[in-house]
Amino acid sequence: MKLQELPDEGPYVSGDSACAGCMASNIAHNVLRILGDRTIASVPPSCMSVFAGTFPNLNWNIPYFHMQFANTAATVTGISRALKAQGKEGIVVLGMAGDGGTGDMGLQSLSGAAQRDENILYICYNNQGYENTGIQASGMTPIGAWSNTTPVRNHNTGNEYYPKDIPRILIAHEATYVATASTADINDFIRKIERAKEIEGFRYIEILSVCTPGWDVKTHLGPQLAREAIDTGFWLLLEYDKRKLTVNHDPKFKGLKEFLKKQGRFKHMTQDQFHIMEEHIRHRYQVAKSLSALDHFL
Amino acid sequence: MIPREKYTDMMTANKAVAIAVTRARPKVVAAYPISPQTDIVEHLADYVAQGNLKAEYVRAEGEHSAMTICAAAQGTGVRTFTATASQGLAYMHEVVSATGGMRLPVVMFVANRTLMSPGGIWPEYSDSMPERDAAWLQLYVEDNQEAFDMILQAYKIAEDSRVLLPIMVCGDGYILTHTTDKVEVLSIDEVDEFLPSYKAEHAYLDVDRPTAQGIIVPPEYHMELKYQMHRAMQDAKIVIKEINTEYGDKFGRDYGGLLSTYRMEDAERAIVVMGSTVGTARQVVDQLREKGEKVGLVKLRFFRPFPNEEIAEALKDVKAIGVFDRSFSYGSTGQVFLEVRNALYEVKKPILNFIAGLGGRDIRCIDLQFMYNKLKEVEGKEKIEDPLVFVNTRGVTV
Repeated sequence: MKLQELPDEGPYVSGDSACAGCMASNIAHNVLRILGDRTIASVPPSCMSVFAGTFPNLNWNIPYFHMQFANTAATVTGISRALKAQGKEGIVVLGMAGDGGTGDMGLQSLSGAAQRDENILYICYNNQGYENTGIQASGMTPIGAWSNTTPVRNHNTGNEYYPKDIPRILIAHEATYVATASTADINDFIRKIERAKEIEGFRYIEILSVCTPGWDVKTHLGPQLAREAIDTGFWLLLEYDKRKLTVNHDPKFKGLKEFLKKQGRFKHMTQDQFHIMEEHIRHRYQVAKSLSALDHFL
Repeated sequence: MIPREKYTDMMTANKAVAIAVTRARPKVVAAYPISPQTDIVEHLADYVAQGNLKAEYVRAEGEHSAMTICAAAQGTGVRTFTATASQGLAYMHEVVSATGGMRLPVVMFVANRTLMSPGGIWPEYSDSMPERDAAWLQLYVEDNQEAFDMILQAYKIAEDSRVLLPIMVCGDGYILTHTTDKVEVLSIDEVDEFLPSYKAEHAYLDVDRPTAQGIIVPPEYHMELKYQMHRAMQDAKIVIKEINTEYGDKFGRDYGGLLSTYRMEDAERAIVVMGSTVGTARQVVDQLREKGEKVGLVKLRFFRPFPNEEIAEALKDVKAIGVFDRSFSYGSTGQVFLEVRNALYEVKKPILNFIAGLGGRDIRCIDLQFMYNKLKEVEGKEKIEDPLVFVNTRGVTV
């Protein structure tokens, strides 16, 4: 489907209480425009569960199940298995979680579901931190980033750890479908969501989600930063399908420093820290490239 | 293969539970092994493989997920089952609570085992007791037959539209789960008639009729939902009695509903007992009765909802009461004692709390004899300084 062919409105309806410029809200809207209303969604505690799922206001015009932080993949597993037991077909069971709920607490249930190849679509909107609780670092926060738990004071210079690479962890599970996406490349985005919709088994898509307060950027900057994240290599577009990894876009690695400098969370970074970040980004790309050179996995 | 017909065999409580589950035919079973429950999930894997149970069998990667899978599947409109114990139950705690609050009638068997530390795999109620505020019905069985019967009753109670709360059937680890005893297995036809296949009539996930479950509810709307959970617990008392009577009429085993009594007609001293210890206590009551001592016992079956009125009625004529607890609330007393003494507030009686069997320590006939003798000492007393009695515990003066 082309962008022009997508319905203007999907089952994620307008009127949520997300922050100005929130890309997670935009992601939910666009994902549901593609998936349609034969979808059952589950969202764990996260920004999205609050801004789109607080009674009596609910922005999901589809069946919606709210569970705990650590068990989104298990929740959608239960839904999916129950549908199968009832003989109900053609329904997408969607889990939609943030990076903390995915890569930290949620990793165990995610791994279990991937290993069992549960028939679920898991979308991680990765805003690179615990933003709902007021901007704390998660296991997927970029190295060097400021947050309220990675302060920039005295000898502290932001997040001291590298972020977890969840897609690579799931590829190591030989999961059925693993991809990263961005609303900045909407055609790639649509294609991946559509692909995930049509196949059965465990599907995971991680989408970069600009968080304007968490990243300390102006509210209009989300789409632009999402675009620059792809061009600079800060966010890779990958697709693991049919046991084969593809890098969908080869970044030029240009303008990384400028891209980072636009974000308050990185503005303290020293030359050394920029260097570490750049090395990390290039390395991650090289790893993906070398894995993509394999004819196939397994 | 499990025979279709009614039959009697020697089996452990774990096997009795697994067979009862096949008779109840849940559509989703989520399983994770933990002693002393493990052979339930082993048996069920076998029964699914053999075709005795047509269910989605999910080998979850932990109890937190196992409970989640059951809750979410139940919320999608199917009957479910899981079993756990001890650390497994503690690990699933936050989901246990959510399942109660979402009014999902999940049935779970808990093979009671001590919660660390100290570590141990032996029976104690310190695993299920902390779940007493999670809006789950909770009952404790005395023997393997009761374990079988109560799995079937549990589904019917939990799924009743007046209840719609999950239920945990608790049985003593090893003493029941790993000990063979005679169990009558009802025929498939008998169970089908008693427990028809599940049809969700409350909110469930359906793309043709979208609803939301478990969402965030702000203070303006919150308390009413909690109150309804309380009302459901109250109504469950009626439902438990009805279903107990129906089961008794149909199959000849009437367990008394919320509780039952033994030789209480003219009893002067009584102990409130739960679980497999009831069997030992019955024997001790008989022995003491032979010696002319007027003793009896109250078998507490349901801990949630707690049968306040029924227990006060059962104990109204005795002179001294003992409450047996196989778990302890540190800094306070045993949990059953708290409830019983609360229920007896209007009928002031001398009451002692016997803590016994912690960590699986054997509860012997002489321990129960000791309890009944101890009650003699407090008969007629206006005030008891310390109701706590640690039974058969080295270094503790009693």
